[in-house]
Amino acid sequence: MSQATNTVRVVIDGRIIEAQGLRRTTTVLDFLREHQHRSGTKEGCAEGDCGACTVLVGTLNTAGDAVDYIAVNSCMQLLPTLDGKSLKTVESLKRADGSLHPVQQALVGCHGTQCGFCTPGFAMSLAGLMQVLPTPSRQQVNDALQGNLCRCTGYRPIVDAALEASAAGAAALKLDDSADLPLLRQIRRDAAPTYSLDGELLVQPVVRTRKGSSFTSPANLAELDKALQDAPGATLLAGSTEIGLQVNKQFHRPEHIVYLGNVAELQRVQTTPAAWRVGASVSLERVLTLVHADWPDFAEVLRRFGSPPIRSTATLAGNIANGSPIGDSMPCLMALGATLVLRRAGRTRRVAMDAFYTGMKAHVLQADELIEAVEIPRRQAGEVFVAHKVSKRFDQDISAICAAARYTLQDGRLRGLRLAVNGVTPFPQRVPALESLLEGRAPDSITAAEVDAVVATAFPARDGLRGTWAYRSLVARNLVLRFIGNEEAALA
Amino acid sequence: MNAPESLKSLLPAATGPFSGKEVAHESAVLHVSGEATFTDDIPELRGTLYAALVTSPVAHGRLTGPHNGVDKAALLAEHGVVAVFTAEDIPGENNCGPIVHDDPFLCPGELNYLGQPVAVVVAREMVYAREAARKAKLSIEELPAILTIEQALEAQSWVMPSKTVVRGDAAAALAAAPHRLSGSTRTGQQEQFYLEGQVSYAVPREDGQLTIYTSSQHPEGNQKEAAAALNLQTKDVEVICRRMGGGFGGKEGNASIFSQSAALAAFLLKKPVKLRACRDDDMLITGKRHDFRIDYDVGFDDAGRVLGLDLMLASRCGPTMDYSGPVNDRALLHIDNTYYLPNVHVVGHRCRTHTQSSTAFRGFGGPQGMFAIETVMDEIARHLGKDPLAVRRANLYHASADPATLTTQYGQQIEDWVGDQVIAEVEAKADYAVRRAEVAAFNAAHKTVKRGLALTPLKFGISFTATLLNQAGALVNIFNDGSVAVNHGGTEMGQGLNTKIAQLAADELGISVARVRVTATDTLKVPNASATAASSGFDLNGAATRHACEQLRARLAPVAAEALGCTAEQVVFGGDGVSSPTGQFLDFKTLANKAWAARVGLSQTGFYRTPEIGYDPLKLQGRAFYYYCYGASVSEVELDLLTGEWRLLRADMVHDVGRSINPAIDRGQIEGGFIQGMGWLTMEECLWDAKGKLLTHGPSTYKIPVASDVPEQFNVHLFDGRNIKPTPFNIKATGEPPLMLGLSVFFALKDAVGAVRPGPAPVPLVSPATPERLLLAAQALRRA
Repeated sequence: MSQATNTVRVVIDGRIIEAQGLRRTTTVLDFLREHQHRSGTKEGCAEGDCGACTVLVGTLNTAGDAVDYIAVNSCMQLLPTLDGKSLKTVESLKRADGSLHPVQQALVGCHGTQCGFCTPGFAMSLAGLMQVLPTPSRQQVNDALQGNLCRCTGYRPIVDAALEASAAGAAALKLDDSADLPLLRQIRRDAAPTYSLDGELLVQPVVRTRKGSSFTSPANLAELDKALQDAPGATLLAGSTEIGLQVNKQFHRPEHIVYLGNVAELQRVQTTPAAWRVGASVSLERVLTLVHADWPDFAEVLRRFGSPPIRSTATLAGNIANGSPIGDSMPCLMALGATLVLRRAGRTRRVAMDAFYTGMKAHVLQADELIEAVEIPRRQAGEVFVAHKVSKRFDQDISAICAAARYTLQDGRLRGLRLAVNGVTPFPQRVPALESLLEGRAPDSITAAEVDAVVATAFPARDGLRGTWAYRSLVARNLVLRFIGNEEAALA
Repeated sequence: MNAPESLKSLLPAATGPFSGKEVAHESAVLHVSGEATFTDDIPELRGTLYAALVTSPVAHGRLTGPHNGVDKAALLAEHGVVAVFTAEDIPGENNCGPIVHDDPFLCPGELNYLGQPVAVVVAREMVYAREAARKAKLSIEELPAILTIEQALEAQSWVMPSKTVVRGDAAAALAAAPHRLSGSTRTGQQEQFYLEGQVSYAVPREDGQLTIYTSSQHPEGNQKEAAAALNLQTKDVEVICRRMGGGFGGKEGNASIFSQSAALAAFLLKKPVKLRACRDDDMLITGKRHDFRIDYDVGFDDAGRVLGLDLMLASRCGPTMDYSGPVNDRALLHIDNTYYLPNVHVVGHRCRTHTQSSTAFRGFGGPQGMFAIETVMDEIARHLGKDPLAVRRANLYHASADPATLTTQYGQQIEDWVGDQVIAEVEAKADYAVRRAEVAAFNAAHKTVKRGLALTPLKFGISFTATLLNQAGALVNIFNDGSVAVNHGGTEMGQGLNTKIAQLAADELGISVARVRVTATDTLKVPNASATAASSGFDLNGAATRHACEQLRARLAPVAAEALGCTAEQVVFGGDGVSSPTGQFLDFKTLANKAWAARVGLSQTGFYRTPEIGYDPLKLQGRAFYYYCYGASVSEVELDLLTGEWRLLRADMVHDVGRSINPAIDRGQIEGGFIQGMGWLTMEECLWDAKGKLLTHGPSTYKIPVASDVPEQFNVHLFDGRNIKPTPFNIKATGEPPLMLGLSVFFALKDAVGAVRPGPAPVPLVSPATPERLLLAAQALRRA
């Protein structure tokens, strides 16, 4: 194989499609609509919030005998990330004999379509859900549809359709990918590093344009180090939920993009009794599953983080590196005492999560340094962890405020308390003033006025798009009191 | 007069097997398979170019310098750009105003809102056009802007003169009333958020003609405006809309902004041009639902009966008239909702502001008017310590010796009053009384969460308030293989209009729906069509289609009679053919072929105009509406007093759709309307910065309800009613009215906040009831 190619190979419905000569920042949606003329997939918002563009991306499993699917927002995913994968769109659902997939059939039967523009996205989200969960509950259906907006139906018939379709059984619901499998095996890249005849490490594939800009997809850390060495200052791409937005909304076209999604080591999770070490490319959806039993409140914050298509691609490390003032995972990670493993030119260092940010959108990462992994402590006996996010809409909305606390209760007193917030501070951070107010106290001895006094001085008063200062500070105080089990004090 | 006890006796029997059936949406299979063709999905012609709009970065200002303030040379130098057009390039009239021609589609000089289109950039690729448009340099002299209703009231900045509706002597009644309350509340803007954004594809044809494919509720408007802009005649412009991905009023007048620019570019370049607005541009350019400030002064008796009411409604209209006149009229015409208001004085101010020109949105002012009176009812109940339902009931229209008790404030007799029956039915179905007690018990036992319950009714008038718009045409073609193409002036935006029309046409001709295709709306097939709006799509276009079918039946009957051996009068259409009294049957295909062979015309237009209506639009007096729709809903919510978060626990509704020609589609309208209304009153919030920039211009910041916001207990019942008017199949319109069922969610939330502090203190909650407003209202009430 050549060292550099401008060809992206993707399997669509039993054919290998070789995409050539397209911008590296071509979105999967534009590829489908404008280049493949598959217009069933719709653009509703181009920001990953409406779900009309939902498609399924298939990856050959490790054994090479089946395809694992994730739902993604095709409007934000860049075409080269599909290399070696398969794609299922609404056009893929019908059977070879022309009959409808059970999800499609049920949407018709339950009158689940009105204008029909959102429908392909709903069909794909539901079909995707039922590949892994053939008989979902109503709640699971609602969760799967967090990122699909419908303005006509009021959703009831769509959810009913999902439950009706599930009666068809797993076999009927399964997507037919028998023709895709051999092709996926054919275009699979070797997991081990590739060397040229003279021993030079080859990073594959590299999509290069005539202008000399590149999209590099390393397969392991060694390749990643080399890619960054070759293209200093390259943009790191993981879930594409931020960069995809920049591409769509600001016409951002970074010169060099290094994609982390295929780096084997970054996809790993290592579990010890003390902690999980979560690689930078691990999706939020996997993190959610991982932490669910130990830290249900963290899992709930993650469940409300975004829709399944967002969570299936977006990563914890990406959320951290992006450093949004209202990033949802950070207060949780700070309260939990997470540690970041940073990597630069083959060397690593460890930084505590609560020491990572130095200001608004500013952090300790040096040039060409990346987050390799996030170490999240596991629950130890007696520990309490509470977290809550408040937003205008309950699901799939950005925080007005998110807060998290971890402590133990010894002899009725709060010990080892760590408290972190977003929304009321310029960037997510711990609140030492509140921690010291609470440390060693009995929860029922703490009054609203005491907390208010600290909130008033600890947080810079500023109204924002997500809420006024009056509201955010009131919620911050109330959440603190609720977290320590003294919520009635908030109303005293 | 008395409401009729049984409407059924007034009605003819069902016309055929398809009417009343839950036929699936005619496009359902195409929707689910992704094969339904929306405007952006139409295969593009060779040489197609792409357009994007340059928009104003200021709320108020003046373009200075040449080319309407646009540096065209710089734009033309951008990668891929082919052409740039501004107001100076428009050969004819620069207008996209639907009623009054006060709205240029490209700014000629004075910029009146942030987002106003200034130039069309045309490029080889969509992305190039958009990128260039974003880089455009404009020469602007910025001017002070009026942004809010309050600023406009202060400056007496009106987009048109205020109107007043008067009945009785409100001032005297207020002075004499045993109780008196005054207050102020408001309703928020609402973005239509059709899932398919605005899009137009204009294709030049020979001899200066133009075809425009567009996502529009009013193709005829786009046609006439394009003709005026390009100095063409109406006959030279064809506008085609197969379907929209939602409209909700947002593609009624506003589609023109985009179709005009695409038409201009295509006409001048003689190349096909597509203009598909990205979501941010769409939301920054187009109008929203009018927000209203509502000031009230009400006098009432011990039972809560309104004796006198003085109301001020002030709406934010934006810089141009758009539909602000009729929207505000409709608000004034709906402040009674289901209530008899003996002495009322209402003034409506139409505020001119430098914000997106507010436009049509499902309900069209009705929801805002109803919100006003429901707030009054709610506050009276709280003041008197009564259940709000008791106060609502005490004020209902009712039959009595005095005809005034069934006469609206604008002097229209209500002939079809069933509001009390609808309320009684939902009260029983929702188990209101029992749950009222349960909510009280829950609230007594819980400090940090409270529940709230509310029942709100609705009465909504059906007809365009502009009488001349209440007309429609249709064209029905029977082919000699027995298949039938139905064309009408209405547009399909998801509401199921074409499905209902197909059912109607099938039954009128006695054939199977499989024989019927309702084709894309095409302005050269059916001329001069009104917008598909005011919930009137089926009433008007269905009646026109029926008229065409009646004439075709009359022409086919003699042919059938000859073949069947009976008289024309004896021929029965049905069973996918015709039959005689003796049981002879002829299938429709054969009949059509025989008729063709006998040289009988098989193409027929139909026409309809709504009878009886007519009123004085200046004084707002007279018969504004052909009939009324009724509904009522009960919502129960649970509110977290620490965060302001809430959940809708259960919703029940009974809604009057007349006799339903398709209960599944009508139910869909009710459910969707309820959730959309709930969104308007709760989570959907438009926010601007101090300079007049809309900050909520995408779904990441503007939140419409999602699946998990829908309660598991979501009980919808169709009222067993009939339209006493001879609409096709005696249906009632279902497009807009159900939106107002969502009012019960807001008043349930208000009830929950009020539980923080029982007593007469007013609950300081305005809409939209976001978690923030809920929490701060509860906090304020607790401290009041």
